[in-house]
Amino acid sequence: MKGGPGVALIRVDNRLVHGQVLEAWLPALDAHGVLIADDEAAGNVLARSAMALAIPPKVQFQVLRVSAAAELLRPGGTGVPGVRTLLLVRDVRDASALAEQGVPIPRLNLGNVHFANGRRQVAPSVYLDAGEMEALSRLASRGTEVEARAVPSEHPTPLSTLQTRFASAHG
Amino acid sequence: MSALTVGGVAELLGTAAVAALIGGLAAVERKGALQLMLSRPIVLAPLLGWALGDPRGGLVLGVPLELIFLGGVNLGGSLPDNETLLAAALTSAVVPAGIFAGTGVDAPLAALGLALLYPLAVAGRRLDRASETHNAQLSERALASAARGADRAARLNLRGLLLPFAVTAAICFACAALAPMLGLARGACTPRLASGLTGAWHAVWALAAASAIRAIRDPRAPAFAAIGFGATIAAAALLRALP
Amino acid sequence: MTGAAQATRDPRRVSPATLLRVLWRSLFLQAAWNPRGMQNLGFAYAMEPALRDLYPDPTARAHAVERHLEFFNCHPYLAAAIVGGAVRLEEEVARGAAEPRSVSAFKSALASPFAALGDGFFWLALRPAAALIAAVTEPYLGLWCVALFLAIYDGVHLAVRAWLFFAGYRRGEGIVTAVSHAHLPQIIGFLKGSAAILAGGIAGRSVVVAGLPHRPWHAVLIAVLIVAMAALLPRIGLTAALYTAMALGLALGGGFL
Repeated sequence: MKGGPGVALIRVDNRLVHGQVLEAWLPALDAHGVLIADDEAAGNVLARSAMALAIPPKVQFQVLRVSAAAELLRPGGTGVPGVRTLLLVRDVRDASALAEQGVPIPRLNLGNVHFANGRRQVAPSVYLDAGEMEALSRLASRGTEVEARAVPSEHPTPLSTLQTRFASAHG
Repeated sequence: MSALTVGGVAELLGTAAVAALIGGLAAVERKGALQLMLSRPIVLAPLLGWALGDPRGGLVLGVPLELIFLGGVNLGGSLPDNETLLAAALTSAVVPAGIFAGTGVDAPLAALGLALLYPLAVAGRRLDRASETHNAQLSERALASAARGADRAARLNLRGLLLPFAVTAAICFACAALAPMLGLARGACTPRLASGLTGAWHAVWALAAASAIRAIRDPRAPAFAAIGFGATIAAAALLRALP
Repeated sequence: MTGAAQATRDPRRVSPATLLRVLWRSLFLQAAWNPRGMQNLGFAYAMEPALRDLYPDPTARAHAVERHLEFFNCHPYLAAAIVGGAVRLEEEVARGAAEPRSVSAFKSALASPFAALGDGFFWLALRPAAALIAAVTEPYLGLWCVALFLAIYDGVHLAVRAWLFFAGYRRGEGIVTAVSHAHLPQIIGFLKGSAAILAGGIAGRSVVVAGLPHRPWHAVLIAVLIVAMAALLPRIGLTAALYTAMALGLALGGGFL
C-alpha cells in the first residue's frame, strides 16, 4: 500500500481521529498526513484543538469544511499538500458530497459508522440506512471500490456482502 | 496415585473452585472493571499459580505469554486475542499438573499445556463478541427504562460483567479438574519427547521475543531491537570468556 | 459559607464525596461495552451519583441519565477527564447556566482524540515498556518482577487517571490545554525506544538459553527462528506462528531433524 503523495485512502469514520486511524492506518498506508473534511469539526475549536493534540508531531493535519476539501481535491484543484494523506469524512453522505463535487474516489473504506434509528448493522462497526446504501451503490457504479473494515489487518468486506447483510437485517 | 481417593477428589474440586474464582475475576478486570493489568499474563499467571500452590510455576508461564500478546491492543471495536482466558486456563491446568507429576512447571509440561490450550486465546474472541451482543441488550433495556422515567437505569452496567466471569470461571474449573490427566501425560513422556518439548518451549520463547519486537509500533524498533540483541549476546560471550 | 456550614451546601454543586463516587464508578466504564453505544452505559453509570445530587426530581434525573446513555467511546483511562468535565458541565446545566446540548458536544469533541492519546501512551508505549522491564529483570528479581511491573504501570496509570478526573472537573474544556503540556509525544518516543532495546535483549537471552549447555547450533537455529518470526508474524498470524515454531522446536529438541 506504499505510494507517492496524494490521497492514499478515503475513509468514513464518525469518530474521525482515534487510535485505529493513527496507530493502524497511517503506518499501513505509509501516510504522513490527515485531512478531515467535516463541517462540524471545522466549526468547533474544542474538537479541532483536541484532535491536534492527538496527532503525532510529524504528521500533517488539516480540518476543512466538506466544500473546501472538494475545492482542493477535485481535478484542477491544488491537491493535498506534499505528503501522502488519509482523508477522513464523518459519514457516507459527506463522501458522496465529495464525489458529487467532482472529487475522484477510487476506493472508499467504511471504518466506523454508529448505530442510529433506521440504520442496520452491515459490519461489526458499521451501521447504515437505506439512503446510505443507495449512495454507496451510486458511488460503486461510478467506479468506486467500496469496502468495510475497521483496521487494515482485517479482511475487507465488499459492498455486495454489505448489501446482502442489509437486505437480510431487520431494522 | 492418591488423587482418586475421596479426599483427593475433594481437594481437586477445591483447587478447581479457586482457579474458577480467580480466572473469572481476571476476565472481569481485563476490560470491564479497573484495568489495573491484574489480568495480564505476567501478573495473572503467578497470582493464580500462588493460589494453586506454585507462584514460580505460574511465572514460568506468564512471562512468555505476556510477550507473545504484548502487541494485542483493543482499539475501538476491533478485538485482540483473549490473553487472559489463555493465561488463566493454562495456569489452572499446568500448575496443578506439575504438582501432581512432581516435576513442577518445567519446560516440557509448559509446552504440552500451551500446545493443547492455545486455541482458547482465539476462542476467547468469540466470548468477547458474545459479551458485546449481550451488553447491547443491556444497553437497549437501560435506554428503554430511562425513557420510562427510571432514574436507576444505568445500574444495568454491572450486569455486563457476569458473562465473561461465568464463562472464564467455567473454563478454568474444567482445566484445573483435568490437570491430573495432564500430569499423567507429563509423567509418561519419554526422555526424548521431553527433550523435544523443551525444544518447543525454547521456540515459544523465540516467538515471544519476535512478537515483543513486533509489538513496538515504531519505525526505529527493528534497529533498537538489534542493538539490544547484540549487546546481550556480547555480554553473554564476555561472561563465558571469563573463568 | 458561615459557621453553620452544614445547612448551606449549594444544591447545584456535587459534594466531594459524590465526586469520589463518580471517580470510583468510572473504573467500570467498560463493564457493558457494546457495539451500538460502546461505553454509553458505563458513562451513565459513572454519572449517576452526580446526577442524583444535581437533579432531586426523579423524572428530571431520568432525563439526564437518558442523555448520558448516548453513544460514547474513549480510552478507559483518558475518559476520566471527560467524566470529570461532564460533571462540571452538568452542574452548570442544573443551575440553568448551560444547555444540555453542551454536555453532549463536550463529550463528543474530546472522546475520539483522547482515545487516540490513551491508545498511543498506555496501550502502545507504557504497557509494553513496563512488561518488558519486568521480563528482562525476571531472572534476577523472580516474583518481584511482577511487583515492579505493577508499580511502574499502575503508579503512572492511577496518578494520571485521578489527575485527569479532577483536572477535568476543575477546568472543563481547559483540560485540552492542560493535557497538551504533558509532552506526551516525547515520552512515548522514549518509552517505545527503550522497549525495543529491551525486546532485543529478550531475543538475545532466548538465543543464549537455547544454546545451553554446549549446543551452539541450537542457539543459531533459535536466532534464525526469531528473525523469521519477526518478519512473518504480520502475514501468518499468531496461531500459525506458534504451532510452526513449536513443531520446529520439537523436531530440533527431540533430535527428529
